[in-house]
Amino acid sequence: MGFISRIQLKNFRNYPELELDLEPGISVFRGRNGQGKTAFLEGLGFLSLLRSIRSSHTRHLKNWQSDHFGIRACLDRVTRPELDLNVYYGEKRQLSLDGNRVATTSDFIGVIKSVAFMPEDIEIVKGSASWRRQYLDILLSQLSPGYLQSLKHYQKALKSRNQILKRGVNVDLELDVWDDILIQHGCEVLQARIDLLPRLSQAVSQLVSKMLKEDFVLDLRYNNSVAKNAESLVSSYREKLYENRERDKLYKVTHQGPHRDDLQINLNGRSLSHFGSEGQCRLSSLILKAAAVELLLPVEKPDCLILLIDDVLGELDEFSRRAFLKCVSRGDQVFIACTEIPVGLEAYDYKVYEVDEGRVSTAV
Amino acid sequence: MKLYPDQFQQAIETIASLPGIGKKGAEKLALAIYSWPESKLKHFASLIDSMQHDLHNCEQCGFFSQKDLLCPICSDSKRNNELICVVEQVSQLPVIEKSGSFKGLYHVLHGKLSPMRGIGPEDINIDSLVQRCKDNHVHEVILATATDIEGQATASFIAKLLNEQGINTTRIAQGIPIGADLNYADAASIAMAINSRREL
Repeated sequence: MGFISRIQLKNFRNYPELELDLEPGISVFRGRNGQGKTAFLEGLGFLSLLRSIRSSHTRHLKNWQSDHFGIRACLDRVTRPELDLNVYYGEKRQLSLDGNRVATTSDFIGVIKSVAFMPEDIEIVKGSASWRRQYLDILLSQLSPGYLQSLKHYQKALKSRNQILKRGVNVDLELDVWDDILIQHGCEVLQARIDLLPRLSQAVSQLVSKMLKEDFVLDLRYNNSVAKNAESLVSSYREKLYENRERDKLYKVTHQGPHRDDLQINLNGRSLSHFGSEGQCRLSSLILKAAAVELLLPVEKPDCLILLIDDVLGELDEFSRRAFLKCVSRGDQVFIACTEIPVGLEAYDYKVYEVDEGRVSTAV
Repeated sequence: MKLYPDQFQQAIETIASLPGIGKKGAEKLALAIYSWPESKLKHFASLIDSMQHDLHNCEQCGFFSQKDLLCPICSDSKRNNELICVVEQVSQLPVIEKSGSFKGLYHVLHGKLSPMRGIGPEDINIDSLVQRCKDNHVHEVILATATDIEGQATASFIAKLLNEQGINTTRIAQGIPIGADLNYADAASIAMAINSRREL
């Protein structure tokens, strides 16, 4: 229901200074390669997730001649007063909402919800398990309040436990203590991921039936490294850690937990990453991202859901493209970066902006 | 370009190295100190000098004491010596003391367990706590370490050690501060307050 009505970028990628008024609905950013289309989407994505949608390191987002970057936006919430979001990354990070400092990232993330469709999304299917965990984590951070906090606590506890394993001598009592904390936050993360799966699977199968004519059955399964079923999560987790403690000590690393889990994706009963064609893998990764949109849309009182679409439409045939556009057109604000206006978009109202060497102007 | 004499510049830089003080603030403070009468200045210098020589950590609890004596709290015979409250930092002891709600003794850890920063049990004041509890027949130890996960880990570690010796341990309550508006409390504090609710 809300939308970003104004954005300012300062020293962000190839934008030394940009101020732009935006409108709800679909906006197309057209330009030649290397002009700053993706960088603009990245700026919007950063405002939502405080991380790069291209998985670049935050320190690489600033203009290379500058020592800081800033993003400022005005969120028009339609029925409520406007909200001013400000992000500054210099020597220190500063986040503020309506001028009030926000101390933790988890209080800032999720004010604007987002889903980004990027060419590298194919890694969700073909890449290592960390891509799939990241996909689940980004979705859950926006979907369930508290998830990001649990994940951060889990990661800190995991690093602490691994440090103790590296130290090696006389560590059993300390490991007992950190195991308790690891299990507490690990179970919060696991439970959220396990609970998400049926909803995600349902959204995926609905999208498949809308976007594809042929037989295409995508099956998702969460491969849990600590417990076979969700009922005995805590006790199985504890047993697993205890069982593997000597092995963990030997290799000086924690072998089980949500950080080792995977989302298994099968197409028509067979592993997609092993047996799927390039086209099937691309299409499946796009469906997974579109399923995230389906899940984020019905969230109560959404402040704003923005969709960032970078160069992924060209890979779809006409039927799939129309179905995809129908799904994403429901976002509060949709930003499409492209070299040419995609076929199929003529069915919708959209506004065109021209991007040229770090400048954005409204097309006439 | 250096405007101040070298000695004065060094004083500014030393003051600026204190927590929470920037370069401008340090300059202001240095100028203020310079304007003091000689007697006040000398007294201040002697106080700083005596910090190194006369102040020690109390050998029983780790709080400040003068010379090699016990601190005023440990040497107060009216305090309940079967009850010990464990805090991370010296600065947290006066905070609890000012509340007037605690009449036992204290134990300052001088840190918390932090594997990521290489701080283990032997780097903080834990051994002396265990020994002290055994020697003095302590009945209960209240763990008032921080609420972050390292503070939690420190509290659990101490609890495990002391429970093995048959000594009771408790953790201070966590949740909504007195006088705080529920509307502005963060989710984690509310969750903690709900989980540790009590019957009326």
